[in-house]
Amino acid sequence: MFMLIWKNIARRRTQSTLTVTITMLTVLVFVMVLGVFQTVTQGLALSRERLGADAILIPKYASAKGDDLLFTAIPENIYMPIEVVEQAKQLEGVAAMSPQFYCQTLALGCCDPGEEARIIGYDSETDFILKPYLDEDSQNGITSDQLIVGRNFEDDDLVGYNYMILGKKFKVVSMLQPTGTGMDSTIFMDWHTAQDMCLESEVLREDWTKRDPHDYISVIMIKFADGVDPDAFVKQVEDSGMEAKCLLTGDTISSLQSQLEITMQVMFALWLASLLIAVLSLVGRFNALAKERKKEIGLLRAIGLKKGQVFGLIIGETCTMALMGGILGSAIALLCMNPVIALLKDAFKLSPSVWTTSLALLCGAAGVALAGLLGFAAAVSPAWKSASMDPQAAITQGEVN
Amino acid sequence: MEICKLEHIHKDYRMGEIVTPLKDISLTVNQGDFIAVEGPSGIGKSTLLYVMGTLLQSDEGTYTYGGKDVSKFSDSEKSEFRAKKIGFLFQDSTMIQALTLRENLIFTQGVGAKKDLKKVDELLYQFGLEDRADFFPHQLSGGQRRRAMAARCLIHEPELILADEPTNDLDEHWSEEIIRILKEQAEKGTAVVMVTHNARWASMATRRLRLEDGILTDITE
Repeated sequence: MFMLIWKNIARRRTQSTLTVTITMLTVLVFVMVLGVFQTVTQGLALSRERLGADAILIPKYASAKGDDLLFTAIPENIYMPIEVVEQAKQLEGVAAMSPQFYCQTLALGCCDPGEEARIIGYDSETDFILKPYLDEDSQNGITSDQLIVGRNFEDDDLVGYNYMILGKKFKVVSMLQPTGTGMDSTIFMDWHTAQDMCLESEVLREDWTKRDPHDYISVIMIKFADGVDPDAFVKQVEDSGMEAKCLLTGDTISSLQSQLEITMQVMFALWLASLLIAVLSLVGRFNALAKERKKEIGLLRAIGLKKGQVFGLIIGETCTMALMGGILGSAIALLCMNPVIALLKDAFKLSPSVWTTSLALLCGAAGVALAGLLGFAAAVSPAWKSASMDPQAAITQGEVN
Repeated sequence: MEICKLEHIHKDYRMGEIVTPLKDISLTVNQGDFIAVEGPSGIGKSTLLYVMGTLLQSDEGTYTYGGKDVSKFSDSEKSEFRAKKIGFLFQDSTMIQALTLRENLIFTQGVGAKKDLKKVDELLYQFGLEDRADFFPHQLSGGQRRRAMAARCLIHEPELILADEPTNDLDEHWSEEIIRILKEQAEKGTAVVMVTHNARWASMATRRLRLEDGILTDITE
């Protein structure tokens, strides 16, 4: 029986290729939509879970958006007076706070990650943002000639390598675990070192001719104490008169999530439409195939094949073709996922979580399962009609056809 | 020894008007019978073979095979019955298009049944098809396909062969050869019921029946 299934597929090469192609395209789109959805959703969930900061204080008149600050390495040269740090300490409900100094976004000649790399100076004494992603040895801080780099820079471990940044030599002492945020594309150094570099570097000095970078910071990451009402905290910042405004990270993630949900809904709707087209065209194809083979089906019944065997034969053929399409579609989709995620990263201004092997296998398996279901669903009615046909009618009508 | 018995078989087709190819058919087929059924075209000779082969259910009458009422068989039992007992040689070329000639014969030995490849080769030789064994049906001439169908009809050593115009598409030599093989099968104990227009081939049968107005008449001389 398996031989006959395979021979039937191989003999009708053009028709089989068409069936495989229809299924392949449907599964390809499905796996990509599913993969993107899973990756981005998990990335957002990871960000929400591991972000650490509940709020960010940024300069009062800065136009920077929360999603740019949190999820991308887009340069944000925003600065506010360092006094804001002291003022922020007076705010109620602050469990922890840590200032950061945004230096510059640069293309680094010697360790160019292939995309823009943001350089941030962080305060290792107060930091609570990087710590969860660092190994124990690096959690106690770094010196002025040391760097911590995000996971997007290199597949291999960069720890121990030396790099020249704007004429100054640094040694990488740690790499962050993947975060699913812009931190993955960021180089971290001591914040005082970053401020020093703004004066020492010819490239950066031009921006600091009239002011001293040591008197400024870019943002303050804030962790709330238990029970703090986020909206009340925002109001408190507004009322304090300080040169800063407050962005709630939860709001930023929620806003991104809702944008994403709408986009994903549209993508799923389009995919459903393509699924419907695929089902209809496959039903049409399998119906035509059953009609074309009426006489042969009559013969099979005449030489003793039971209804169930004829049904199994047709379903076996269609499911085999569908599974071939499913495997091909899944494989191509998985191969395309990395470039697609890179495109989405730019489009959505976010860093989706790492595309893991287990997630890839899960999406691929779902694609193959869908293909099997698609083949079965499209063929079940024509297969049953063919199998249930009166053998004599099948032979005589088949002759007429 | 009786193989099968048809008693007062009646069959109507409803195609706008009612057509009755089999009005009142009674026939007993014994082991070793070589029966020729004659009659004009469209009179119902093929319908009679379809009823005997359980491909078509009669409206009235009883059909017993080996003493069992075939009309009471389930669909699955009928399939099993056809696979083991009946050898069909259809009027038109009917073969599994995706399989080669050899594979067609092997497949007809039964899904899951033990395959007798020696028997396959013997039949291919007997019907002069040994050099066409790996050809697909569409690569064979009409006569070769007819011979292939005859070989397929014998591959599982049926008790009852139902041959509908077995010499269609065949030249004189192979027509004679097919009739000779059918006769030889009957002499070995297989019952053969053959539908034919050709009086010469009909005269080689042990019994000659004429179907007219839905009734069988024995015209054996």
